[in-house]
Amino acid sequence: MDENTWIEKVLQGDPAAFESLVGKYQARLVAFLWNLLGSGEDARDAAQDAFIQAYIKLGQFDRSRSFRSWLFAIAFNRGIDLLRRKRSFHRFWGREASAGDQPAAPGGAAAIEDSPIWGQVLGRVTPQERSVLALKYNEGCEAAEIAAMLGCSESTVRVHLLNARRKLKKELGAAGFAFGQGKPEAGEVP
Amino acid sequence: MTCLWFELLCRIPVAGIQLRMSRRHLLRCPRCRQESERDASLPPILVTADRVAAGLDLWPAVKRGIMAHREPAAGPDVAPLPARRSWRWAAAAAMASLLVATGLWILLQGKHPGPLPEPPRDRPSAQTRLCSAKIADRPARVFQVQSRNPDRTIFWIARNNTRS
Repeated sequence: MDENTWIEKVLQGDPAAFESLVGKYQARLVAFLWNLLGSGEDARDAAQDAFIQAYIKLGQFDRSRSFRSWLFAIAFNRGIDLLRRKRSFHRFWGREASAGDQPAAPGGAAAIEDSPIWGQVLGRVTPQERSVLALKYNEGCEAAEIAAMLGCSESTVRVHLLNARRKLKKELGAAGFAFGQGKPEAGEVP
Repeated sequence: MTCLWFELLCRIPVAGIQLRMSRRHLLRCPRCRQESERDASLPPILVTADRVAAGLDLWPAVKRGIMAHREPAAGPDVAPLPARRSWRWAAAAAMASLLVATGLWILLQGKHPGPLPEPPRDRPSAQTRLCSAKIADRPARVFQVQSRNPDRTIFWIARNNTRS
C-alpha cells in the first residue's frame, strides 16, 4: 500500500493505519532530529511530538505534496521550538548543557554523539545548517525541497550549505581529517 | 572553493545580515553558486537512520498521544480563562481612553473658561447716617451709602417719614 492509501484510512477514522507511516519514517525522523538537536533523547521526544502533530493535522495535508516533506517540516519546527525552550531554560538557570547531561542512546548512534568529533565539529554548525546537512546528505533532498521543509528560500538553503561545509572543512582540517576528497570510509570518524 | 568575498561575508557577526548579504552574493557569483551545487562528499559525522533504527519503536508512545487527543480527559466544566495577552490589550485600551478623555476635557476647559463669579446680590450696601438736615423746612437725614464699586460713595438725603 502506498502512503496516500494509509492517509486515506487514517482520515476515515482508523488510527492504526498511522502505525505504518510511523514505522516507515521513525528512524529517518529521529536521525534528522538527532542531528538538529544533538541529543538522542530529545530527538525521540520531538519525533513523537511531530508524529502526533502530523496525525492531528492530517486533514490539512495537501496530498499533491510529498508526505515526507510535510512531516519533516513539522519535525523541524518542533525541533527548533525545543532548542529555543532549552536555550531559555539554560539562560534562566545560568548554566550551559554539558555533554554529561546527555542520556545514553541506543544502538551505534551513541558512539557518534560521544565521539569527540561530534561536539568539536557539528557543535560549531548552527541548527539550521545541521538540518540542511542532514536533509541533503541523509535524505538526499534537493535545495528546493529542503527550502520547502525549512520554510525558507532556496538561496538561503544554499548559503547554509556553503557555510556548513566551510565550517566543517575548517574543523575537520584542525582535527586532521580530510573533507570533500574522495569517498569516506565507514569508521573513519575518530 | 568559495571566493574571498564569501569568506569575508562569513565573518559578519550579525547572523541575519550575514545571511542576507551571502544570499545576494550567491545570486551574482558563479563560483560560489557552482560550489553550492557541487556534490561534495561528507565524512560520516551525521547520525543516520540505520544507526538509530535498532530497537526504535515510537508507535506505542505516538498511539498514546493520539488516543489522548481523540478522547480528551474529562475534567470540571470550567470556562477557559481569557488569554493573558487580551487582558493586557484591555488595560492598554482603557488607559488610552482615559488619557484621550482627560485631554479633551482639558482642551474644552481652556476654550470656554466659563462665566466669572457674580458678586452676591443679597449683600446689603453699607450705609452710615451722617447728620440731620432740612429739606423745605422739614427734617431730613443724610446717609453715606457705600456703592458696590469701591471707588464710589453715594451721599443720600432723605426726608423723615412724617407718619413715624
